[in-house]
Amino acid sequence: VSIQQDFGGFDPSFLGVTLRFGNERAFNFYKAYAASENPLPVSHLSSDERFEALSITSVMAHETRHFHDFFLTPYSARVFGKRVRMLAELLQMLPHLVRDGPNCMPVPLVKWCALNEQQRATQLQWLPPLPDGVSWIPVDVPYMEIGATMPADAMGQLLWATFRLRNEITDLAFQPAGHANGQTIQPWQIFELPAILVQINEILWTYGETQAGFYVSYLEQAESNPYTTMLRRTRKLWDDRDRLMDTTIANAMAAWSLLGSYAKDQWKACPTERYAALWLHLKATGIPEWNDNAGELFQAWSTALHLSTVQDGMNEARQSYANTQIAIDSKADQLASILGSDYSSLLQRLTSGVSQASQHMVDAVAGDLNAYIATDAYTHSVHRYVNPLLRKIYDGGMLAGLSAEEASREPGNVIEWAYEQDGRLLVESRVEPYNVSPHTFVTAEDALEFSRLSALGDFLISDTDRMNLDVQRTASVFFRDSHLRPFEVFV
Amino acid sequence: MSETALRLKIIADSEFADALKAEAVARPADLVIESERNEKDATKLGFDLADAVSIVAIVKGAIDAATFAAKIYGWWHDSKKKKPRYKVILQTPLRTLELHSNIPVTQAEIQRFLEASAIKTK
Repeated sequence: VSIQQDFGGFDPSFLGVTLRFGNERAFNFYKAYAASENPLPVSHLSSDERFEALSITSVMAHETRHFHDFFLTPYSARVFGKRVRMLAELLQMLPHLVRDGPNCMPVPLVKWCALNEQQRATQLQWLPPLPDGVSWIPVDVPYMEIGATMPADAMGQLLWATFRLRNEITDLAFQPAGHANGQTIQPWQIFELPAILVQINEILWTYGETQAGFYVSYLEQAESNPYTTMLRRTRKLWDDRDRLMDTTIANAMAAWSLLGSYAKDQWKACPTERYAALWLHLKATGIPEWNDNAGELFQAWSTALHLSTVQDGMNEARQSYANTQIAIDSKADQLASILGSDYSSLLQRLTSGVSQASQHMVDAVAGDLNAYIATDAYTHSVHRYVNPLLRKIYDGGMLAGLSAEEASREPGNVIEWAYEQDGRLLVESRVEPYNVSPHTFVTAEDALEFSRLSALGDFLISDTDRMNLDVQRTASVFFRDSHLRPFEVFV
Repeated sequence: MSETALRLKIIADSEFADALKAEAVARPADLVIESERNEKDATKLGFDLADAVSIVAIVKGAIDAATFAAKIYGWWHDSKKKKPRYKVILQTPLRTLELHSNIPVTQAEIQRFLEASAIKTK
């Protein structure tokens, strides 16, 4: 039996949560679970299938926590701000890049720009020949050495700014000290800790201790996955003292690690750095007992480690999201003059919605920190937080019962990807209504359009995220009717 | 008779990469490793492991697409039996093919993928 182990995904290029179904058994279980008033039995299932079933029933809790953390954390706010600014720079370049004349687009541009004439010619030699002896003519972008100063021409300046923002995102996202001996602890993995703790708590509430214990054991047997790594590392603090891990204290550790202020601590605000410092501190001084006072606990850790407070971090996140909105507003006229008003309005609506969502989350969490930290209290407080959009992806449009015509008749559904098979248009992904709270700040249509723009940006610029299926698919649609063929630069 | 060559990028775990490199050592005239680098955070490429290897190789001479597709399929098949979520990315300048344990790919599909990006050298 091929078991799907990972059903979710949070990627801030889509401002909601994503559920991905890779086999029909998993989808059928999800449908039955959603339709049932009581939890479906799982104890009769084989070990693998039981893990799959428990994952399906709890994945929304996991992804929703990622979604909420996104609006609270300075790390996410910084990455988002740089991504949006990078996209704005890229959009200004787009008319120049796709103009008539050239017939191919080297990607990622960051690699192509670093190649000299001879190196570029070598890359072109490996493209299959065009009919009638036509030559490959790449888009005209300047040579730019890594670390170069800002060029004088407008196109060069846009590229330079785009690459600089991209490098800044890489600096934020990758912590070299966290990568050793084939294991890695990067900022995004710190985000996994609260999400998996909330998910385990969801299973505990729905199915009880036996199934929650089974789920954790199954996870820990996995050779390598991000959840296991973080759980093991965190639990070691308790294991070394022959104690059972307190999930609320573990969740508090994750929240404190994520909520550092870069303005106050510079690189020491990196979630990996804060987590490592806190872990060592607790190892040396002992693990506190949970006393229903997250604020006091956080303050004690910040004081002991001479690092910024959680309130500093949340305030910085809120301000950072507001600054991104201001930056886009200030560029709106310029963007509109180059691309028309559609894209500039989209970016304005989106950054405004995200800024409002951050404001709402910071107010809600600061108003009751305990509710965000105690995993069971969090589960019962989501109605006070921002409501996530829900996107479902059905790999390969596998479910014949889901034609685009039928799906679009269902109120509130917005189809993202569909394809034709045997005369029917099958849905591969769509956004569905999901209302766990009344606090919604971004529409499904805007979130999907922004997701497509981000994917196109990643395809043109990024040398890591480009393998993502959404990125590849968006690019293939964008270039399908274009006179340009994209080709990969191998360096 | 015309000969073809292919420039291919492969992103995979070290076991798959070692098999590829061993083949290059055994057939130096037909398979050349042009560059190799570690992907510093392969989890961002969708790999479960921290370390993945990115190799650019030139396939030429006596290795045709069918032969090389059989090799790739064999390495892929052997590794995915041992690992629940296994993935290899094959990329030519104009196309990308992802071998993923959740998405079945046949040897014939790999062959077609390779053939579509080959260039004539003679």
